[in-house]
Amino acid sequence: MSEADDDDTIVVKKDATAPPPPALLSDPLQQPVPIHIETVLRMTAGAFVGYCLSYSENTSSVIPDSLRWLIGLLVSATVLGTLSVFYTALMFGLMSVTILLYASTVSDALFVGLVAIWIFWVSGLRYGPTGKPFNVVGSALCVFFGMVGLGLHAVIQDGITVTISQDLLQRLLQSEAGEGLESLGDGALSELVDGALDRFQEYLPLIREGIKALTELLLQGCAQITVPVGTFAGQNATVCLSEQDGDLILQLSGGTWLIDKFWTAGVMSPIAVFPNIIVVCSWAFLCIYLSPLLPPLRTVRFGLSRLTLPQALSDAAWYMRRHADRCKSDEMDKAEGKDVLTQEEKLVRSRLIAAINALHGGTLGIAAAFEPRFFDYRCGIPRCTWMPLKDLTVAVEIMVLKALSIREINPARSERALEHAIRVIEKNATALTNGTSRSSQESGTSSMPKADTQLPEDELMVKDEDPLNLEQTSQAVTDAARVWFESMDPTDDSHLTWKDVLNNFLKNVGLWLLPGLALVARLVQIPLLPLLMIKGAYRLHGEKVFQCIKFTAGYTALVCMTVYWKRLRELDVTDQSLKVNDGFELVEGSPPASFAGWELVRASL
Amino acid sequence: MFFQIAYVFATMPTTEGTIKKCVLRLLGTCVGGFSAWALIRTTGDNAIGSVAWLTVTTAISIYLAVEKDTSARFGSSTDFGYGGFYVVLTQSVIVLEYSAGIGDGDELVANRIIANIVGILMAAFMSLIPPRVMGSSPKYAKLILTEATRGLSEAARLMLIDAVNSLDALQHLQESFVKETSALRSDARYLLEDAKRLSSFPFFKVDPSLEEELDTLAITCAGIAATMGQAVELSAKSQQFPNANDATESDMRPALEAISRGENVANLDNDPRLGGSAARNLVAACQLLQARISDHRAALGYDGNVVLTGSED
Repeated sequence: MSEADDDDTIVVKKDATAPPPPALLSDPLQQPVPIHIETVLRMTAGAFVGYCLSYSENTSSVIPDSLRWLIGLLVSATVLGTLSVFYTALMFGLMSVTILLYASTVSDALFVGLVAIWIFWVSGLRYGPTGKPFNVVGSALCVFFGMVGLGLHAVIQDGITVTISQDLLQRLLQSEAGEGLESLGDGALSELVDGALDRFQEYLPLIREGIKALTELLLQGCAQITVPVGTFAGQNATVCLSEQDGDLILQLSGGTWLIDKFWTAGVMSPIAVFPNIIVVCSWAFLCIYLSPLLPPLRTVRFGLSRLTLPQALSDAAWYMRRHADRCKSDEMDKAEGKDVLTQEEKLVRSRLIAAINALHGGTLGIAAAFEPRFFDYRCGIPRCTWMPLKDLTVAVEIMVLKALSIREINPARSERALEHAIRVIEKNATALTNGTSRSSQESGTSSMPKADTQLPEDELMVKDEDPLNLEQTSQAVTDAARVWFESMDPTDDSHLTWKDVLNNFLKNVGLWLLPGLALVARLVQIPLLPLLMIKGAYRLHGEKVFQCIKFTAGYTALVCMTVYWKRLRELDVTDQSLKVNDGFELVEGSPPASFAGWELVRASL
Repeated sequence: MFFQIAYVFATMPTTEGTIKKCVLRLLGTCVGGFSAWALIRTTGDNAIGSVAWLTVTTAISIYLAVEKDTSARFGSSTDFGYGGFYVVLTQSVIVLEYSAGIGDGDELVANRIIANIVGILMAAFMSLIPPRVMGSSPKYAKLILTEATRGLSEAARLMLIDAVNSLDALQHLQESFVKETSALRSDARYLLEDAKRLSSFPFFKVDPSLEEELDTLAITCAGIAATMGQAVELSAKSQQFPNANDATESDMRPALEAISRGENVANLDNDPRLGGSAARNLVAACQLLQARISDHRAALGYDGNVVLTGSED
């Protein structure tokens, strides 16, 4: 196929007598900062707050220290992208990781096998009718598993081992003992002693266990103890004294109990990885939402209704008028029946094609649902605006498609229908550009076509004259615009019932849940696809299935490298000397969060 | 785990999209890695210095990642935006992990870059294994064309049947045609948009006329849908086309029969712009649409019957 193919029927020439095409509408709120600079400032502001939270030191009560660094990463990663079904995807990811980690306690082979099935399942999100919006979700879920699931898999398998050097242990004990005694006044100390004596019976078994473990440790080099208090209370730990350098090595074995702790250790505890991820992600989410919430507020609602839709209607009207003028003149005959497009017509045609691609299905209008109108109700009842805007978008899309198809099928005797449609959509374009308000309607200055925009009975066109139903289509635009204006600026709320109020409320709120529900529905549908295909209810292209298989194979190969290639896993945590936090050395495995080793030591001591 | 992350982020729905994203990811990773290395060397653990550096470099990356027109309002560029995205992502990963004490600066930089390259190579390798999803392939446009051909010929066939009996079938045909072509168009554009990113990349270039062909196909399909709508209107008025009792419309039946077989037909005797009955105008419109379909077939190199697989629904 070559570029010249399409030009066989399109002879480009300049028509000096034709009116110029409509000028591009400019955003009245845009001056003086250019759009792309404003976008840079907004996105950078979101990232800046995320970075600040990552480095902040006085927010331990609300941000888990162990995962604080993740906020800046999540914000920087998503501020340049989008994730509209944030929490649904997050919860699905957490549940999946939990189940896969339980499988890993049975065997690595089962873990890898289930991971492969899970990845194949999730990779189906890239395709299908929801492929475009959910493509990023599929990728995000796979990344989430890589970051969280594989990291924790190592902990579940290897457990946690911490080495405390002899010097550090000595310093720590001296420091703890010294501080402990200094911090107690004489009165407090006597109270403590009295209390301890009172509860001597209670502490006796614990002391006996401690002495027994210490004896065992000194005689045999290793001792099994049951952690008495703290996050790991009740767990068996192995304490060993290194013969070479006298270091104390503490070891907790892995297993399902650790997975339980990841959920139940309590928010802010470094072991409670999963709740902490939800907290940190929520902070990141807030930072991401800072970008669009910075004033002045830019809404899809405004851009679509005041710029895109009227521009499309103006262009469509101009394009149709050019066709009507051409039909009246002898240009077609001169061109021997070939459709002739001037440079300007070609330009407007490309704008109209871009418009139908942007407006397709009214999806842009639905985006207005996520822009709640907090300040525009004027003490009135909140109305659902996204649905009228979606309907208006679809009506304009159909109108533009018909304007373009007029040149395709060149309908006969449609001049009157054309003229009527052009008049109506020009008025609609003007009304939408100006917006509408109660005041303009009351003063009669609104440019909206009057309610009775249909032609009088004697002027009604017979269908023979309007083969493309232009009258009906342009009327649909007018009706949709009227409903839209009414929803934005209700003239009279007095007739509304409680049922209407509830209905509007549910429509407004319901759509916030819809993306998440759609994601769940798609995830449920994917495993059922073979069944649906057998029944003939679903069709799927083979190469897309194979693409998913290839993706799964590649991902699984990388998972196998991580699970079975221990040296590679060690490399991922960089060199050994860096597994030391203030002298607590992590010997094997990786902690669920960077300070998990500290928690173990604190609990054990 | 960064192998998997790089692999997942580099894999896209189409082969072209994957290869081009691999290139963008590679560039972004190297630049981001260098920036992170320079930051760690310069500011070390200093929180204010790190935040300042990260913020300024993020602003520069975003500036380079957005288009310089109104499309900037919708975020980073679909053509080259991923480059800036990965600069920010890579340097954030390294610097924030460094600040959390997870690793040493130099080792983290080397580790992340190597892990990313392994993931990128794996993604590129897997995407090149056939069969591949090629967004630049005219296959998806051909599916729309097949549906358009089927829709028009089916409409013509129904117009030949008794008007009363064809009404329901025509209505159903119009609804299913609009739904089917709309879904196919969305699918084709989704894959094409993915395939045509990084338009300056010398390989896997997408023929710009394919996009134009998709757009004109959308217009042709809209014309067919409008014609079906007109046929429904006429059928509702119990107006048969062609009217068997009207001798002047005797040439319409062969024309409709030819269109129902997917064949091009010569124009009716009367130029449609000169007038005629509604049914006659409708058949003339069908003729023009059939000619349009032939143009599309020639443009897409449609040399045989493509098995209709339809959209995913």
